[in-house]
Amino acid sequence: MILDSIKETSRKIHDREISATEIVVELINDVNNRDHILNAFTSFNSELLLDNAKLTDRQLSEGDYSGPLHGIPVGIKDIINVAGYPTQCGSGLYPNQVQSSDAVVTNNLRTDGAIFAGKTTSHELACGVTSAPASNPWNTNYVPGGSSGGSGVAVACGYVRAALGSDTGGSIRIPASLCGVVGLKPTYGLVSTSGVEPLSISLDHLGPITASVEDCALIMNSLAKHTGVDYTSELNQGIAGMRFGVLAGKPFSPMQPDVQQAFENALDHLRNLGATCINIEIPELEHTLAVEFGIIPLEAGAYHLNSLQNKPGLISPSIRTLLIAGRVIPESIYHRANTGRKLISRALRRAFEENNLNAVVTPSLPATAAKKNQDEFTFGDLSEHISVSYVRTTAPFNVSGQPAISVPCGFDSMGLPIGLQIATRPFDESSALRIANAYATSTDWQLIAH
Amino acid sequence: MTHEEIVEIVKSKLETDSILEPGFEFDIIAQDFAGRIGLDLSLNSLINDVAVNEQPDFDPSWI
Repeated sequence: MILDSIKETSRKIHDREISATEIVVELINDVNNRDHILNAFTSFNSELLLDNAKLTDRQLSEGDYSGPLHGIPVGIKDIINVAGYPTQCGSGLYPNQVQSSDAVVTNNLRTDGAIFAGKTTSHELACGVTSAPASNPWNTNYVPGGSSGGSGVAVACGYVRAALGSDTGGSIRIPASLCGVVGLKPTYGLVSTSGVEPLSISLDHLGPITASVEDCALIMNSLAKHTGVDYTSELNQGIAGMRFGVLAGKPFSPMQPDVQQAFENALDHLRNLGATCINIEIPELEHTLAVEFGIIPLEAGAYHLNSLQNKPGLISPSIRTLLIAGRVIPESIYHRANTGRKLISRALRRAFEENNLNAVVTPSLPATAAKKNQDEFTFGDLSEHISVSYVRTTAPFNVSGQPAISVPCGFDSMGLPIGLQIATRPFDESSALRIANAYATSTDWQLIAH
Repeated sequence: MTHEEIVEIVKSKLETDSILEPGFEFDIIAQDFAGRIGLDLSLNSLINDVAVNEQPDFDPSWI
């Protein structure tokens, strides 16, 4: 199943060229045929889907049209509550118990007429970068990334045009980059996390993973509807005259040679579109992971204390070690990490102001998809655990809270996708989407994996 | 601090928290804890050495 863009599908639904029921029947067939291999969905309810599609068609036949998401299937990461589905967070800690109410974001989507395609696979407790048992649609021997891996897979393989993910250290942008789709982590606090199981409340963000930048903007209109901003309004204004800071040094280097080449090609392309790219170094960013890992374990360990006390056997050893670290390491580290967070955020702000930047750009990740069961990447003499490699380029913008989007910018020699990351000033999602759209619509990297 | 000393700190803290599963991998947890001391040094460097030129300013949109 390969859908048209949300905008085009919406037009067809509105003009009665296609019904929501027809779309959903095709989706069900596709999932039944392929998802035993891809494992994008952890909870998929054909009956509920069909009921919702029929309701949508009835509404439309009565002239009740809710807008561009009406009848559009959207996948929802399985840490976000959806009435009628269980929320299990990729963990045995959570019972297979149907939720009675939506999260704020899913309520927004429901109000706007979206149909929930199902719950997508999350790495256990949204705390990891592989999302087993989900597989990368470009090569099923490789991981799709995480923790929102199922959402990346569902979009990349063409089940849906859009899915929701969460991002505490990169968990939207990592699967977006590894699966060759678009992923936006909005500004911290812009999108409600109410009704969502937290990992680390002061770093958690929710946002869309989509097949195109335009789809991403349409989903943002629903997720952040309280702002009244139309995130599609600036998409086609181009980037001539814009100034981008190219972040060099640690933590962005080292990276794989194919990633480096694709990134340099992307910079050339941005210059050809009329932007100016200048190299900048921000020494504070080298300490991003000390801040990130000084906050996450303590917040996650506090949240899951009851489970550690009463059901530790239901938590996998690696996650349990992290949660226990959160109970053991001194609280003073948490407080100093928050001081460090301020310093990193101010350093980024200074870089924007002193260089009059519209955005900073980096490779989304220093490496392409890892093989399943691969533990480390090797960069020259450096061996690095894959979770550190994947998080070190994305986490700076969880720490600073700025919006950051990943768009496809090439493939490595194995045919695995590479992503370009664009981060703008806080609450300037419109510029992030505009820059990403200018790049994406003038290149050929946005493909669907078959 | 020796590995054994770290293991004892971990066990003591978990006992205080009433986290008493006998099957915990204390050696792995202690190694993880030791690794985090490196992060603490990085935090020290950030706070004390790198970000020294702070000027008072305020923009409510930034964290």
